[in-house]
Amino acid sequence: MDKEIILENLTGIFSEVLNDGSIVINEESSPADVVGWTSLTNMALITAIENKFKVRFKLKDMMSIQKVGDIVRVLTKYLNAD
Amino acid sequence: MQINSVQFLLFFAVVFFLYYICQKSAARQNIVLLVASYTFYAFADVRMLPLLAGITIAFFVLGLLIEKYEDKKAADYLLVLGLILGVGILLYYKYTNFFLQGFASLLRALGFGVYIRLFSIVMPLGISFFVFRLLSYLIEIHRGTIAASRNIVTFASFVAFFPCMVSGPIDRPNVFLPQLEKARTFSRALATDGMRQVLWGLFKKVAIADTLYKYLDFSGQGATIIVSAIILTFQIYADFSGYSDMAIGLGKILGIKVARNFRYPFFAMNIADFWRRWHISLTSWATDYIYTPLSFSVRKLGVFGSSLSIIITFLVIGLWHGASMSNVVYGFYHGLLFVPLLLSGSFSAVKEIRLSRIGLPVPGDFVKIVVTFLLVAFGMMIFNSESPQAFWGTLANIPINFFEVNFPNGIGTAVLLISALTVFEWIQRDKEYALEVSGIHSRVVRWALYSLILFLLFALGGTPTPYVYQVF
Repeated sequence: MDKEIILENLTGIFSEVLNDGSIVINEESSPADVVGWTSLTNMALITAIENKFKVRFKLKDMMSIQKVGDIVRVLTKYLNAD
Repeated sequence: MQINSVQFLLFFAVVFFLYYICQKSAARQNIVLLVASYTFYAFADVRMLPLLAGITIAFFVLGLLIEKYEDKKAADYLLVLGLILGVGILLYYKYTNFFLQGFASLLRALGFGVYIRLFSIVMPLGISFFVFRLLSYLIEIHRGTIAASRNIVTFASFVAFFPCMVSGPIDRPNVFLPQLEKARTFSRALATDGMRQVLWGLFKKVAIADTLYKYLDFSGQGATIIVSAIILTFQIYADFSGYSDMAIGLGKILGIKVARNFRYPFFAMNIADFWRRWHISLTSWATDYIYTPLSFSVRKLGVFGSSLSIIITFLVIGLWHGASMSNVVYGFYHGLLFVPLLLSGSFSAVKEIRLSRIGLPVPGDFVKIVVTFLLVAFGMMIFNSESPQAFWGTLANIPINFFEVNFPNGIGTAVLLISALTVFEWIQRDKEYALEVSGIHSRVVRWALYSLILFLLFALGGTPTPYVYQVF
């Protein structure tokens, strides 16, 4: 799965979990500039991402996520391993 | 050797002199730091020095091994070994008798006639602080965020850094260790700032905390107890944040940035906001190493999982403060206060205080600040009680003769000190600490302020009391 498709799916997940249809994200987006992306909603986002892509993150993966680009990187790692 | 004693002042003067003689060599500066830290520790209890040195060496070796085995299973086992070692030492020295007593009570409740002989265990000074520093070191290496230290002197200086040894802050290796790897040259501006912060910390401890301590009276009835709870909350704050300011200031004089521990906690608008401002180094530690992994492992449970994780985290924070049921209840109480925030989604929302035209909080935010403070003060009563039963006894006395506020010597000085501290902190709330007045250009005004602080320090300073957090 390439980056664009992952980003497209992530945008849908962010919109749904954060209840904001107007959300626009890119690889540089971080909790500082996405309204509602907090340490609490982060856990809900991770769960939704895992369900959507049928992967199971490790704690180490989650700790390394600082921005959307990190989610893309972690997802790419798992999806390419399949 | 108390950090606010003349003995310490002389000790620090010698360390300062030797430290900056070696300012061209980080290695030599670290040797001075380590010798100073171990000397400081030996003054408290020389018998515990081998334990400190031993656990430091053990974690140094474990750090190197975890890094060596990186992603292999062996690294996981080594981390678990380190966690068992660190937590085990903490449990043994701090909690053996507490758990034995609890176990005996349980057996008695089940009808068994048991008698348990308690151990006579001397708790090493600052054990809760240096063990948490050691644990975060191993976890960060395992997570791959830092490299293992290759120099035992540098590492041991981080673990035992004397200004933070007794009452924190709990510094993180990823920020602290890189500072020790470079030589620290004397900076007049930083040292001046450090001395100012030490003065402010000393003032909060000696003039405010020790003075307020004399007014605490939970043996009375009615509103006297409520007033005492408010005084207690300020007393603990002045005591602990005073120590932190001194530790941070001493660090600055030595050219080392120590973690911030307080950010005007009494201007918090909810409990989550309070814990982001109170004992920051502990709460951020607990968030990173307890709450996050816990809530991650139960993420499928949604808000219920988050609530459970936060309550468990605060139970640990409560117990960290000491082996007593009061601390367990204290932790549980604060954990419970988070649940409505989790359910409403305002748990992580950081909101600025809205100001009216006269520069004070708008009524809505003012009410939130007052309510948060009262919830904190209630918690402090639990924290301060010898047992939950004693706390309930104190609570039951509040409705009796409620309107009789009885302080034999009056509370004028206490009210004045609390009001002055609150106003001064409000004015300076954007600064790192309240006496950060480097922005005042007039040297006369600055020195007039320092002189006033010094005068009050000597005028109000009376019977010294031990630091509240020293026993942890």
